[in-house]
Order: sequence, then C-alpha cells, then structure tokens
Amino acid sequence: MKPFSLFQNKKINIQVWLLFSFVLFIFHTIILIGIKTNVSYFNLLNIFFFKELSGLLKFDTMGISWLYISSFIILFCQFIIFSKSYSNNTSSDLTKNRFGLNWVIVSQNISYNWWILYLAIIHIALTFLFLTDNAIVFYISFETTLLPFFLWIGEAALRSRRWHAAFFLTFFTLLGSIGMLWSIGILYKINNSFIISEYIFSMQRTKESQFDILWEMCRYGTPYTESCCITFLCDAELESSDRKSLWIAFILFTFSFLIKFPVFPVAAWLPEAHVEASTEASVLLAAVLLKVAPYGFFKLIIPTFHEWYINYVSVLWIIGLFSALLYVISLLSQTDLKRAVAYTSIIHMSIMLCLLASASKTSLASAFLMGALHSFCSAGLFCCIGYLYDKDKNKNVHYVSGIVDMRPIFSTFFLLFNLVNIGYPLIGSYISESLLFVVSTGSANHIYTGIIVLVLYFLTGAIFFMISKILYRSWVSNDVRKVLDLSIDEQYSLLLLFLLCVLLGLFPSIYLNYIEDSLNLISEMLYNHVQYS
Amino acid sequence: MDVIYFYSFVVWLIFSVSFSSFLTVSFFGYRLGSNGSLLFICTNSVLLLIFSLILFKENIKYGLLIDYNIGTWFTVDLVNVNYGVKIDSLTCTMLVVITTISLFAQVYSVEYMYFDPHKPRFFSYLALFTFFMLILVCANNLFLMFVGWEGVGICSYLLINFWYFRAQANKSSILAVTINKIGDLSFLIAIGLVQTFSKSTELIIFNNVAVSIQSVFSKMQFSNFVYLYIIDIDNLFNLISFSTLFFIIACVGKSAQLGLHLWLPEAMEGPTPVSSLIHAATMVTAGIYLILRTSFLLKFASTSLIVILVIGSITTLFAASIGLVQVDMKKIVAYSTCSQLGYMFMGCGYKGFNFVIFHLFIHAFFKALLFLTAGYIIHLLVNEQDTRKMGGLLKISQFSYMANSIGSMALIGFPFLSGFYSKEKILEELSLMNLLFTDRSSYDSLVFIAGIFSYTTLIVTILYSFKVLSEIFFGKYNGFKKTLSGLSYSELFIVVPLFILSILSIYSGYLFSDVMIGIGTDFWKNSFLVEDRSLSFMSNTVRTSLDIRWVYHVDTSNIYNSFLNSSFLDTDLITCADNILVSSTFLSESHWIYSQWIVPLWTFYYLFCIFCLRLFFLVETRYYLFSLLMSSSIWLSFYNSLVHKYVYINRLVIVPTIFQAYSTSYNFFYRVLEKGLLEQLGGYGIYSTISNVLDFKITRHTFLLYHYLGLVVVSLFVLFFFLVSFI
Repeated sequence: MKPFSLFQNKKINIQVWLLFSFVLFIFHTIILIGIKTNVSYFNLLNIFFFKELSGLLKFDTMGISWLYISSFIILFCQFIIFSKSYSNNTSSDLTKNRFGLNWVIVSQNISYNWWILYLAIIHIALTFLFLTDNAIVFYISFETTLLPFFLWIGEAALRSRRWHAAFFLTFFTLLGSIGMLWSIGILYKINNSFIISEYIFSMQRTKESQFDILWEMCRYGTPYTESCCITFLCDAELESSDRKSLWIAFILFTFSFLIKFPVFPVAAWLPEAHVEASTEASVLLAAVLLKVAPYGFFKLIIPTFHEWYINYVSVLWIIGLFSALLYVISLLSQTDLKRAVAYTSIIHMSIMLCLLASASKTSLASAFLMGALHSFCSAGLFCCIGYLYDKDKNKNVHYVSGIVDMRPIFSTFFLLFNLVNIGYPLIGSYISESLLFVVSTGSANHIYTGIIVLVLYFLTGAIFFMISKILYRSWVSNDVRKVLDLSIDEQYSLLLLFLLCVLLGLFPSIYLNYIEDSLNLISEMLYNHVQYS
Repeated sequence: MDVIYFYSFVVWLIFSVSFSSFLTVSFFGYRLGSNGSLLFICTNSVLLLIFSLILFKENIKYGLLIDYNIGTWFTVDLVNVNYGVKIDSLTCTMLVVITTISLFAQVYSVEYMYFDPHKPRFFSYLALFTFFMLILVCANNLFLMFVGWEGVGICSYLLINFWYFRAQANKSSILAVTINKIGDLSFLIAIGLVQTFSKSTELIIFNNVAVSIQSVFSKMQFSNFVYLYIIDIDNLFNLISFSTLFFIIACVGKSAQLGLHLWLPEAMEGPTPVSSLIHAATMVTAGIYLILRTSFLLKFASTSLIVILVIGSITTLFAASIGLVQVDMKKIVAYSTCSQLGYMFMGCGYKGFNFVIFHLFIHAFFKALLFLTAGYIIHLLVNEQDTRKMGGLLKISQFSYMANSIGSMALIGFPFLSGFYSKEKILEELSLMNLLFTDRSSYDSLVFIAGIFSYTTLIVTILYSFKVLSEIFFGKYNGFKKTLSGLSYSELFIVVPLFILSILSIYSGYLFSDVMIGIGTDFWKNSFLVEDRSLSFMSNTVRTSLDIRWVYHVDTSNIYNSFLNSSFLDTDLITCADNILVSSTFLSESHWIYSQWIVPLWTFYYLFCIFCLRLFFLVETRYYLFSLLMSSSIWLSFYNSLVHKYVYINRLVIVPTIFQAYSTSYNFFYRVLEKGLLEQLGGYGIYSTISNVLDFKITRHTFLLYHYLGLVVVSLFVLFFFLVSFI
C-alpha cells in the first residue's frame, strides 16, 4: 500500500503559495526594520475576542530576529524546490543508482507542489510562534510544525526506514507536548491567564523582592497587567501546593524543550529524521525547527521560572556536556554523511544548552549568535549533501571520495561550510566558542572547560577526517568520476548562505545589538535573583 | 598631511593589497591565466615589501608606534572587542621577515612549480597565508590575533595538502590540523583567562594590568597592608599564571616543540617553497611571537618560565639528535628548524626576549635559504630527496654547494656569519646566567642543565650540517645513472632569490645586531619585556642578602600605585640606588670571569668544526655502521632508536588511541547505547509495550474508524480524569 497516495497526484497551485510566503517574508522584513526595541504590550485582540486569546501578538526583538531568519530559510527552501522541479532531470545515466532503480519515475512521483504547501504551513506556524504572547497559541503553533514534517519525512524517502524516522519524530515530539499542555494548564490555574509575560513567579517571595519587581516594572516597562500586580500584592506567599505544581510545570516545560533541542536521552529522532528527509526538509529541520527550543527557553522558561532555572543550571550543564561528548564520540564512526552532519548539529545544540545554562548576559548572547550561525551553516551543509545526493544517489562516505578534481566548486563550498561548522574565525561561530571559554573560565568550572575542549577537539578531528576522505582521497570512486559540478542556481544558493555566515562573523554586532533589548530583560532578571538570594 | 594618517594609510594598504591579491587570483585566476596571476601576485608582494620596509625604516629612525582601533567587532556585556592595529618595533620586524620571505618564495615557485596545472590556486593560497600572517602580527587584541593564528593553520593545511592525490600528503595535513587544534583550543582558554583577570584583551591593557597585579602581589610578600585595599589578588595572580601556561601550550603546538612536534617533519610533504615560507620562516615562529607579545605576563611567573626553559632545552637536543640520523633532505632541515625554535623557546625561558626576536629575524633568512637550496637540489635531481642517493654533486652544481654551505655555516654559528650574532648570543647569555647564579635554587640548576643541553646541541648541529654537506657534495655519486642524464638546472627565478638570501644570511647579523641587541639600544621600547641584563645580574647577586629583586619593578605599575603610600616608594628608590653601586662593582668582576671561560670555549669550538669536516671527508660512517660486524652491536640499535623515534610514538600511542576511539565509538556508543538502549527503551520500547497491552484488549485490528475513535475517546476521558485529580 502506498503511503499518502491521496496527495500524490493532486495538483495544487504552486504560484499562490509562493506568493503567499513571499508576502509573509516582506511583512516580516517590515517588522524587522520597523521595530528596534521591545514593544511592551498591546492587547487589541482582547477587545474583539474572548479573553483566552489575549496577548496574541507581542513583539520582542529576539522573536523577530528568529522569525526573520526562519522566514529567510523558508524562502530559500522554496527557491530550491522551485529550481529542482523545473530542472531537466531526465538524463538516463545519472538517474540510475547502483541497484539499477530508475530514478526518473521516482522523481516524477515526488510531489514538489505539496512540499511548497508544507512550507507555507510551517511559515504561518512560525509567524505565530515567534510573535505571540499567548501560551495556547504558542503551544498550537509549536505542534503545527510537526504535521508537515511528519508528512514530508513519511513521503519523501524510498526506504522503509522512513516509517521508523517518522514514528520517532512523532513519538518524541508528542511525548514532550503532553507535558507542555499539562504545565500550561497548571500555569493557567495559578495565574488565571494565558499571557506568558504575566507568568513571573518566585519560589521564595518576600516583601522586599515584591518591591523590587514593581521597581523593575516601572523601569523596563515589563508587561504586567493590573491583575498581575494585584496577584503580587495579595498573594505574597505562594501556597505550598502551588509551588509543587509549579515545580512540575518547570520540569515538564524543560523536558519538552530538551526534546526539541535535542540532547542526549531524547535525541534519537533527529539523525533518523535527517537521514530520511529530503534536502529541504533537512535544511528546515536544522535551521528552523531546532531553534524553537532555545527560543522557548528565552521566552518561557527563563522569565517564568528563573529561580528554579538558577537552581537547576548545573543539571542542564551536565546534560549538555554529556550529550555533546557522547555524540562527538559517535560521530567518529559515522558513514552516512547526513547522519554525521545531524550529529554535529546535535553537538552544537548541546553547546548552546551549556551556554544558556551559564545564565549570564554574555553566555546568552553568544548562545543565540551561535544559533543564528548554525542555521546558515547547517543549511549550507545539508544543501551540499543534497546536491551530492542528487547527482550520485549516494551519501555514504565509503562511496564518495576524491571528488575535488571533478567538482572543484562543490569542494570549495563543502570545505568552507565545514570550516564554519568547526567554528573558524571570521566566518564561523568562533565568537560564541571563545565567549564560552570566557564564561566557563570565569566561573571556575574547570571540568566543564576540559570537557568542552575535548568535544571541540574531537569535532574538528572528525570533520577534517571527513573532508580529507571525501574531497582529497587519492582513490576516486567510480560513482563520482563524472564532471558534474554545481549548476549556477546551486552555486548562488550556497554563496548566499556563505555570505550570510561571513556577515555574521565579520559584523556580529548587527545581530547582537538587535537582540540586546530582549537579552537585557532576562539577564537582569537572573542577575537580580542572584543578588537577592 | 598628518604623519600618523600617512602611516595608517600604509597599514591599510598592506592589508588591502595582500587580500586583494588572494581574491583576484582565486576568483579571476582563470581569466588572468597562470602567468598573469603570477605577475599580479609577485607585484603585490613587492609592494608589500616596500610598505613594510617603509614602516621598518620609520621605526628605526623615529620610533613609530601606531595603536588604534578601526571599529567595533562586537560588544557583549563586558567583552568589548575592536578591529584594531598595532604597529611597533616587534611588528615591523615580523613584517619585514614575512614580506621578504614570501616574496622570495613566490618568485622561487614561479619556476619551481612551472609544470603544475594548478598554479593560480597555489599562489592564491600563498597570498592568503601572507594575509593571515599579517593579521596575526598587526592585531592589537587577542581575539583578532586568533583570527590570524587559525588562518595560517588552515592555509598550512591547504598547502601541505596541495598535491592531494598523494596519500602521504593527506595524512600529513590531517596530522598538522589535529595537532595544531590542541594549541588553538588552549589559546582560546588563555583568551578566556585574560578576559577574566583584565576585562580586556587588548595587548597594551592586559599586559599593563598583569604587571600591576603581579608587582603588587610580589610586594605583599613583605608588606601585608596591601591586603586591605586589593581583594582577591591571590586569585588574580593564579589566573595570570594559568593563562601563561595555556599560552605556552598554544606556542608549543604552533612552534612544534617537544610533545606537539610531530606535524612539522611530516609537513614536508608540501611543495618546497611552502616549507621554506610556512614551516621555517613565518608560521612556526608565530608561537615565539605570541610569547613575546604576552611577555609581560611572564615577568614574575617563575613556574611558566621554568616550563618554557625545560621544553625549549629538551627540544633543541631531541630534534637535533633525530636530524642527525634522518635521510630525507627536507626532513633534516625540518628537524633543524625544530631545534632552532627550541633555542628560541629556551631564550624566552630566561627572559632574553630581545635575543630571541633577533634570532627569529636572522633564522628566517638562513633557514629559508637552506630549504630553497634543498628545493634546488631536488629540482636538479628530478624529485630525489634521499640523501643516500646523492653524492659528489660538487662537480655538477657549484652554486648549490655555495648556497648550502653558507646556510649551514650560518646555522652552526660560524664566526661572523649571521648565526654567530644571533644564536651564539642566546647561548652566551645563558652561560652568563650560569656563571652568575650562585645560590642553587631550582631555577638556577635548571638553567645549568639547559646550558648543558644547548651546548650539546651546538655540537650535534655542527655534526648534522656537515654530514649533509659531505653526503651530498663530496664522495662519489651514489644514485641512479638515469637521473644524471636528466639533470634540470634552474634558471633565474630560482637562482636570484637564493643569491639574495645567501647575502642576507652572511651580512644580516652584522648589520642588525647593534640596532637590535646592542648595548643600550632602545629599538624594542615597550613592545615586549626587555630585561636590563646588568640590573638583573645585580639583583641576583644581592638576592641572598637583601630580597629586593622585585622592588625595582614596581615603578612600572600604574594602576595600583595609588594604593601604595609615599614613604614606601621612597625606600624603594634608596635601595635601588644602593644596588646600582653594588652592581657597578660586580659587573667588572663578572666580565672578568666570563672572559676566563670564553677563550677556551671558542677554541674548542673551532677545533671541533675542523674535526667534523675532517671526519666526514675521511670516514664514511654510515657504511661502517651497516657492516656485518656492526649489525648485531648495541650501536646499531641506538642508531635505529634515533631513526624510529617517531615510529615508536606512532605505534605505541597514536595508532592504539585512534583504534580504541573508533572501536569504542562504533561498538559501544553507536551500537549498544544509541541503536540499542535508547531505541529499545525509548521509542520502540514504549510502542511495543503499548501495543502488547492493546493486543490484550483488541485481538486484531479491524481497520474501522469508529473502533479507533471509541478508543481515543475512552483514553481521553481517562487522561482528563487523571489530570484533574492531580491538579
């Protein structure tokens, strides 16, 4: 039985969805240019709709920056799909893989039009995810991204392993989302509101700190409603049962975001999904979907539960370090290129988790900078491997070697994106890595520093082994002994991504200045807590 | 026009010219053609040389010092990093070295790489290397310096791997990258530590802060009142010591010192001009440059000084002893480079920084000469590198004999050649320290041992230099007859750089020694820590009676001076004045002692040079070693152990480590943990548990929608009840 045969022969109007996404992108650009600071609060929708939808839109610079990056990546993917669907892919010798399967038929069966629709769905969902202040809308858009990916992964690949991948993706995501829904319920019960900005609890609230929070409100214009103020003044002490359920909510929220990160015990879905997904799905998965979790940390966990967060920081550190170390050692023996790149992105996300767990302004800024760079570099790497796979129908390290003579342009881009991936200065996440060392040496966690050094060392070693195997090996495999360098649109797509990496490497202050307002908010919140406790 | 703007413009030109030559050749090389791109790059190199000579001249004449920030790179909380340039004496010296050698290497490789199909690529890599090296030496903060540091590393990777179809070149390049990464990571840690203790990474700021902290710390040893004002200075002092240690690891990696030296001999797989430019003159000296830049941190960090001294002195002997028994011509020169870098390290160990930078300057010329001559001979004999297959080349090529002998003479420090002024000066100062240190502390005894090592190395250096000379140029030809029929003599593009470099290696020591290390010279100013040797001897001699060694240095501190009361400073001045009296009487004695030793030493040295020449001309040692009589003796095993030093490390350490890492990675982490435990307990475990439970209720799937819907409704009810009860 063919999966999703329902969708496969239907035609949808591709231009409409392209235009739709483009208009959305322009809308996001206008927001990016127009809004330079956090717009504190506007609650217009509260008038027109019922109370639960209040706080539908709230602009903070962090969310806008992520939205813009995601929007860009989505347009980029549409460009790739568009060029692929119109390219001449009928040459007979190229379309046969080593097992004699005819790829012309297969490629005709792939419904690119539906992929465009998936992209549009993801686009809308991310718009709400990054702009909303409402927990339920956040949850809904968070879960909406799952559906297109499930369909995409289940549909795109030929192997039966795709079921495995799709099942893993769904299973883990839903496992997290159950807890998330539960904890949103807990928050609603205590605070009587779905607005995220109002969820500011404190574990040991005293009279003095009440005053300080009010002072903060006056100073930064943080979005507190009237009811929230009353809550502060009347319920000075949280009840013990409330405190217990809030603790549960914190754990569940963290768990659901750690699944999306992903880190060690719950990261099995990511490599599987990457291996089975098509190029565009991989690009989206790495560049956009993984960044939702750090954003969730920024948006929900750190402001809401900052006191618990401070107390459980070491646990997050240990989780991040352990998963980075484990996956970097696993990386050494990987043969599938996509799987290897997926592992590197797990490692990067683990390092991001460590940076978030350091909970200072420096570390938070460097974490989000690393995330932005990782978006572009992993997109570039997955594109590279996708182009390789389109031509050779192969992405195994043992069958792809010595391609620099035949494909110099591809090799250049592959080398450059790998350099970005290992944190090469001026083009890579070097700033974040060095700031990570600044943070970890300053906090005198010498074992942490040592483990990070090990991770980065093994990462570099593994990537250089991979580069030398694929590009420079003296033995040229039969599969790649063809002059099949990148076509012009592929070249320009990769060049665009690389130039963005260079832009962020040379002038990171563009990004850092933009998100500074949001960072100040949460970093001072954490800092004040440290002072008082 | 303001003068400073003119020099800023020159600096800007240096960067733009070097980067534009890379960009132009890499993007438009196919339009320029190979000859056009070569012409473009060589012209740009000439321009670079002219600019750097202008800066050098101005520095000698007027003491040019430029230190300004062009713009902000990034600002996060307390970390503020700028794009900044610093041009002082040290930078000017390095600029001259870099631009000169890169120009010669590029001109040389016009002919050397004549038949290579990828000439534009090769030249663009060389240009990129020069650009990153310029960033490294011109940067005014550590973050920017690290850009150059990593950049030259990656250019080294690309250039070693230039002939990528050779498996050996591939292996060597990976080795170079993986070993250098250790140094790079420790550089990053050191940056973190520096940022922690001084809240800035600009060279001038953190050096000043370090000096201030250390001087206050050392003052505390006899005045406890400072504790009242400065909190946690103990921790700061430790941070400084640790940062110096991590800087040392970084330098050990880059400068191929003992432990992380394996990549340098293997890097000889690259083309010969690359070896001369990167692995002799410029990139490997970046480590020494970094130590000089951070020398103010080392002012009181005695542990780090001991580490540098030990590593340097052992490396000199170790590398030279391996070079004695190598047969590959380029590898001998590589080990010689390693050994010379060890000398420089050792010089840093006793704070003779100005002698070190002078030796770096001189060493670049004669080592580039040696490498390029080796390239000449390899080119002559059609890619033959094995010295055992050479011999009697004096009759074939007199020019290469001239160049090689000049290079070797300069290397061994033959009197009045350039090495005599630089290398022998490091040893001379070391021996002076030996004579003057009398109280037998651990540092002094280490200096004594380092002296023994370095004097032994002096002899070994002479041995391997003359061995190579005699093997290649004397005796009878030992290679294939076919090679002789296809000899390819080099033309102008190879001969001219060799000729100029020969002249430089003869005269540069004489020309620059007075400017750079002459008595009372003010050439280096404050670009690194210049110890006034006479005063330090003074303080050492009176250290036993009056412990005021550190007091003298206090007036360099500028931040914490406000904490110190005026009466205390007065006593400092008085004690200093006393000491100068003591030292003036002592110095005459010390020179007398020195002159007693120095005459027999030099006599022995000349005699030994002559002896070595006689030895290699008369006795062919290596044939004697491999004779039947000697095959089972202990000497052969000694010889083999020298030859196979690297192989032992490879067999015993590296190969098992890699094998173990791979097997653990695959068998344990991937198969058992990821594919086994995580999948079976995570996704599939729960799936199979649920399906087993459901199979108990529903014996078979009906494929009817309302059955499933009913199941969903029931389970939702259960869940809802559960949730409500809990909340």
